[in-house]
Amino acid sequence: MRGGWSAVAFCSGAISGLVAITPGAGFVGTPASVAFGVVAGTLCNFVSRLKFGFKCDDALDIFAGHAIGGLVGNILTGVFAQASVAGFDGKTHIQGGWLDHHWVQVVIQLANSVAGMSYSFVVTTLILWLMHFIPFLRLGCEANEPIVDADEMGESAYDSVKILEELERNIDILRNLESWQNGVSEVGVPLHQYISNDLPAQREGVEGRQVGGGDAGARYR
Amino acid sequence: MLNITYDESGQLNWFDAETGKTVVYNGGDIAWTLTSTALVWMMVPGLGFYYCGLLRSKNGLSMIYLSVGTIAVVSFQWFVGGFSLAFSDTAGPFIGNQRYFVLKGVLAQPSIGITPMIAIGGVAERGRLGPALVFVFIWATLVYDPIACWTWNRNGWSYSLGVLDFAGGAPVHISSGTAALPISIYLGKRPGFNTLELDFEPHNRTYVILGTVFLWFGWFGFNGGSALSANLRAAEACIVTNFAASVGGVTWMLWITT
Repeated sequence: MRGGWSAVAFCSGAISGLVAITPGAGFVGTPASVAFGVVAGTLCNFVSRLKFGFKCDDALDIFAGHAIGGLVGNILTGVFAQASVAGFDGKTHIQGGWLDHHWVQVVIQLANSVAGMSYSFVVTTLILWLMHFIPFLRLGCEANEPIVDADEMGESAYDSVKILEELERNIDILRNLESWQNGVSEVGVPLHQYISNDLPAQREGVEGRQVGGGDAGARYR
Repeated sequence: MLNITYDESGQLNWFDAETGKTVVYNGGDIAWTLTSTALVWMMVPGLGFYYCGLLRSKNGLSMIYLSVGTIAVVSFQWFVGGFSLAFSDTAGPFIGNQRYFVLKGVLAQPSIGITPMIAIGGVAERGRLGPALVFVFIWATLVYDPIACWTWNRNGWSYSLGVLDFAGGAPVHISSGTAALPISIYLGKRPGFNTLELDFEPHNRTYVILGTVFLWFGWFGFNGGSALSANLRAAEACIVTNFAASVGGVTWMLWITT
């Protein structure tokens, strides 16, 4: 997020627009779709920044893009739905939304959205909670900074040089963070445990190594 | 043996012995719905590429792997009961039942594949893949199917209220987007999150665009195909889909630039 005509920003916005129009397609007219794009591209973008305030690491902004995009779409569908558009197939009859003076439609849309959101949050939490008590189904990686491709699949998308370079740069940055120097990592795990999980060379139990001395990429060489 | 004949205009007529009625299938409708199924299929690896490009190079491949794994797991889930949980004729207001235990002669509702894939992005950079695929199966059964039932099944409570949801605002996007939140909270923060020094640069912007292209392309089938026939409403759905995506992309980009 540093300005410029960002391709990643364009892609995020296009997807938020697609998400928002999903409930509305087939119900709203062409001019209304511009409103879907503008509102979703704006709100999803703002909500994606909130995670830093809430300190929730939604790495791929899935809540901002899809939950908020879907909410925007559902509500705007209640506003812009038209009986004439739904009738394009010659057989669908609806009362429409605000454009057709059917005022209760937005309330119904909101009810369905809130119900879906609450239900998904609660049941997903329950599923995670249940899976947590079955060790081989536990979702989280053991290591704090796992190398998911290599650890989980034994395969990588790139040659070791590219991955190593990035990994070592990341670990150098982490080492210089204040939280590291205080001996506690970001997630509150004691530093020695973090290191032993993280750096394969140290996992082998090499004694007396300094924090900076691990061979981060041993498994790639 | 299905009792199928073709009438003078070439339409497929199926005589349903149970009800004594003849059901007419339009060839164009079948063609468009099957094409849409294939288009929506492409959205799932598309999302995998999009997620992959946004992550760091050491964790990217796992997202593409999860996307194809999710297709496999969810196709099976849909076959052994997901469909009847969501769309059975004798459903209750919240969840269907197992009247059709094994699917026969029913066009699968294709949007089911993309939904758990959106949610499972929550495990990015810190989740195990095997448990993630188990999670996908359970989640599709317990979260997607009931919400799809109450929104789209004619016995569902919000369908009865008159909710308008063409291709899945609540069942697909709100359900999966919200699910990413508890997953992220449960898995905790990645080291270095919310620090200026380490801002998790996307490792491959080409993949981000490639994934978006797959998604955008497939979305014509996702929204247009939800008309379930080749008619003007499907055409209108495709037009607004393209417009909303274009405007959304430019809007977000302008917020970043200014």
